[in-house]
Amino acid sequence: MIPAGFDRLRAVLGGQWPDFLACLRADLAAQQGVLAQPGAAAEDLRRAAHVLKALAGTVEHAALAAAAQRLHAAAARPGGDLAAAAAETGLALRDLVGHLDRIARGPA
Amino acid sequence: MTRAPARPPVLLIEDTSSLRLLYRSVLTAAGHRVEVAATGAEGLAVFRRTAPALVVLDLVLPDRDGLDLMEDMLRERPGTRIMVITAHGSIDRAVQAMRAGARDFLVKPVDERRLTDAVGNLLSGGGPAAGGRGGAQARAGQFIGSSAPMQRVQAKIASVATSMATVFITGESGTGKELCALAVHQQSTRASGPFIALNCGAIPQDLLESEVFGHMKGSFTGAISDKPGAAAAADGGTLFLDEVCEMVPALQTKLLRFLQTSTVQPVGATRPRKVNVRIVCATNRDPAEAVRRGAFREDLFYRLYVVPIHMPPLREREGDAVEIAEAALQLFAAEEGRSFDGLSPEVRALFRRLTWPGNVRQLLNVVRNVVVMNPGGLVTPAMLPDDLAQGGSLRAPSPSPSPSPPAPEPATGPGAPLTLAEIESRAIDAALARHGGSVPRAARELDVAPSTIYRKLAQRPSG
Repeated sequence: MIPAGFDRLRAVLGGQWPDFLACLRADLAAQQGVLAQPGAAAEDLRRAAHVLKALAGTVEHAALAAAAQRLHAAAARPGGDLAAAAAETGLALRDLVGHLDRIARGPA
Repeated sequence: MTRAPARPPVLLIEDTSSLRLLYRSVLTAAGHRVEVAATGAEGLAVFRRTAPALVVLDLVLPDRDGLDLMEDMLRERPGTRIMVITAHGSIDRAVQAMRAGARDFLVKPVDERRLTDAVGNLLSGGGPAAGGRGGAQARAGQFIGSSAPMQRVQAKIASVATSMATVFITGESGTGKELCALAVHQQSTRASGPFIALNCGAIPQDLLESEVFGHMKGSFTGAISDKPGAAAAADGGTLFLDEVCEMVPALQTKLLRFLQTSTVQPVGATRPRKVNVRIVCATNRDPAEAVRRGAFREDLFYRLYVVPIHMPPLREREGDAVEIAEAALQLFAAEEGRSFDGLSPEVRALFRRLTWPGNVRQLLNVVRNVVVMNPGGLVTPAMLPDDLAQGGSLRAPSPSPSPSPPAPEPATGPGAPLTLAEIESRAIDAALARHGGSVPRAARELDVAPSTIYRKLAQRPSG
């Protein structure tokens, strides 16, 4: 399902909507890079979760917002299951990136 | 030919590029000149070069801590207005920032309207940007309209302005409660005195007492100098307490004592000081209901609720939407250096039929959008934002005098009683529908964190 916030953001951004999508894609790719690092430091994951929470909230992607919230909590808590939280966040992130890529490709 | 000096910009420091673009776009559409920076170092350089009217600062930056950067800016220009942006769950950082001199804070994800409102409020609060776009936005909505409800409001303001009686303004968001308070002040014998507005809902609770009554240097961690507080700053003028029903009980007690004794005692002070202040307060809630719930002291309510003024929603101000829109169109067009020929008959008809859930504020934003996005001419439906042109928020065809948003069915309604979970679920769905699926806006209406709604949605059975 397309994130709920896209229609609202497209109306708000008008002609800058394509630029926003490109920036968003780049921001998400940067966080994907952090999540994909084997044994990434908790602080790096916490920062990635921080960015992803804000982005997911903005575009209203509920699954990514919830996963990033869990990753943020796991990264802030000693002994938190970071690997599982990072994997869950990575999956939700891939879903959002998939939407962006489909929009970029245009209608089939 | 001489060019007018450029207005000081709003400096936006945000390292996430998509959010930077979004916030900049929203603020630009609201009429602000915006400079942007992606890092602390870049932000400080732009700050020194442009002397911004306001800094919107993300507290998490890649090269340095946002709080440190804020302190550097305030050291260089102590009067600088700074609004910080923090992530949900980092409210303690926002409180730290407020104690260190920030004027306001926003929590990510940032609601676009909240951003423009907060920036507009800070810029219209005096200083280098007074009279800028925020001020024009206020002037544009300033009691234009000849509808009967507004005539009654104006008559009430005129009759109460010269007395010392406390005024209690109620009305939905965006109906102009602060303008009403300002009108009371400006028509009073205190007009030459200060008008101090304080939003009780926008200030962290543990800072509210010091914001209202002030504090002495060293009275708590972060109190680096004496601060007079809003009540003392309003001496000889008017103190406007917006969203007064959000005030915590402990402070309600102090406000009551202040009203009874006309004295203020800053946090850490050993003796009280007499002040001469008229109180005007406002809320978008039902104050009597807040009293019934026990959220608002009954004795304080009766002391404040001396002269009630209800600001009517725009949907009940027959024909005013068109009058306001025409006036705002000319005002905003003059600011943008453009020429518009007014509203087409189709747009006038549409504006009369819309219910304007965001009231005058929403209408002004629509007009601003039209002026910014179009070169000029006659305003036609094609120039309106898409959702509005397609008839969003149209009046229901029923003759209901007050088309309030649909509420969840009560458990006592026809058919089987609803469970608490069902009522909650329906309330969430109804709020989401009213806000076009926007979770942050629905959350604000329901007075919960957006994460609560996300969690509730995620917990629903799939399929």
